[in-house]
Amino acid sequence: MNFFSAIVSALSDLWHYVCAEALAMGSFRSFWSELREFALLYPATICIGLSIFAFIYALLRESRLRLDKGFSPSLSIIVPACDEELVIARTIIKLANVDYPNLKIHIVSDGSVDRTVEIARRFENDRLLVHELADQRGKSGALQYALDLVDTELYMVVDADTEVAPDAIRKMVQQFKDPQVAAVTGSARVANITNLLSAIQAVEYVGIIGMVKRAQGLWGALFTVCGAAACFRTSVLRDVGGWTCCTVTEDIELSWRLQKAGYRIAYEPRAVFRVQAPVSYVPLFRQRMRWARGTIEVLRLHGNLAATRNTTMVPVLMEVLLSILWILLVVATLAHSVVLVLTGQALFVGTAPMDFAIILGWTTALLAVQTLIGCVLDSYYVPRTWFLIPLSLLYPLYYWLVILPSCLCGWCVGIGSRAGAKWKRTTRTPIETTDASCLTRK
Amino acid sequence: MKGVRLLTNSMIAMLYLLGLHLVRVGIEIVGLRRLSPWVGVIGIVAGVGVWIIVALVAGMLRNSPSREVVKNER
Repeated sequence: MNFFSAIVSALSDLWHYVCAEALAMGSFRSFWSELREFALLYPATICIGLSIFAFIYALLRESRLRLDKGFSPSLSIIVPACDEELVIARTIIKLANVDYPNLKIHIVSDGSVDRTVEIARRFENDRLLVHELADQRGKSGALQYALDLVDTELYMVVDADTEVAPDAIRKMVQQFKDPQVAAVTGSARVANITNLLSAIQAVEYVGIIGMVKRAQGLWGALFTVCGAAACFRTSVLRDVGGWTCCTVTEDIELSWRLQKAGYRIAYEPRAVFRVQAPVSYVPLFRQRMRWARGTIEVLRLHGNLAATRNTTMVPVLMEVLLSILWILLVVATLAHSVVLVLTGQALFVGTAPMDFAIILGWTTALLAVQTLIGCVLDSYYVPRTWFLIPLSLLYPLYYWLVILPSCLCGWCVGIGSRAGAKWKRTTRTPIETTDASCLTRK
Repeated sequence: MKGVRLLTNSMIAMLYLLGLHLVRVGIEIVGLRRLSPWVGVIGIVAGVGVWIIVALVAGMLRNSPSREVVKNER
């Protein structure tokens, strides 16, 4: 009885607190103060939400995933490539080792001027075809060219620098047993952890991106498939209009188009593939700026709430809009603080510096817990991710130095950008192909 | 039809914001010790509960093309 009365009393206190806050928001000053509190606490809120939802996803969905080896619809793997001589051989070798019976691989060289085509042709056989486009059409143009060619049930995109695990495709394909699923995305991991910057990106892939995909999997809609390796139902892809060149992030745009039409995108955490992360600041900044620009372009195209048939897209849309609002508020608060310091007034008016320190501590601790949960969930599929947990303490610094400025620049470009996407690749790390078979024609 | 869709989507968006607000207030209470930490914990639980309700409602209201195909075939 005491327990229930304590709960009722706590609920009553909570109700009064929320009501008092709502009433106080009547004045502009309190409203601004409320916005600043939102800016301070939003990361911690999202950390808690992501951790709980990802955990529930792992319990309810991930633990029930099964592998039916008899289910193997025909599949075409498309590898769009533009000047990828450093990495293409290894990608082809990895794809050749994939454990899947009903498979064709198409390498589409989009106006490459280096040895990409020459290297790819060494492997050409009846299962692996090389297509050479003389005029450069961009990634989405190359993918659309391949879409017109294929006659298989499934269509998979693999970037030229992506290593696919041997069992990844068989696991991804399982999700297509559900007729509502139009696309499946796997679990991306960093292949080249060579310095601190790439190691922090590895933390980001495990602790942030993997957790976001799990949480969104529970919501029912994903922000995007991973452009580096994603599988689609060919008929649906053609129904919604295929690949378009209207944004710089064709994967995000297509994901929204598919989901807006009412189809589902599934996340397959067991399907692991490794991507090359930028290892220096400028290419990383450019990559993140492109992602941010693509997000704004997609919002311009598909951000209309009234036109969304798929109600599960609403929380995803809210998440994106709130993230944008949060960054803008942080910048406004920082600018306000700088003005206050320059004019000799107190810092952090409305929020004591001590509060700020406590909140920063809480947020960093929650992020470490989130990364820990991500590592635990991923340890089933990718061993040795534990060393990433201490690095999560550096993630806030990485966020301030890379993500925040690149997002601001990307959004500014995205607001005024026009259609047309050309290849914008990150610098590749040369990979030695130790397998001698890459030098001989198969 | 468009109006109904806008109304439904707006309600889901408002519920999502309510969940976010409850979790945010919960963290504020726990982190800054403005009330008893248990009040904050209950706020966080209530917020996550609202989010779960949002996920369930959004999933139920989702208009899927394959569902329409199945309905037509029947």
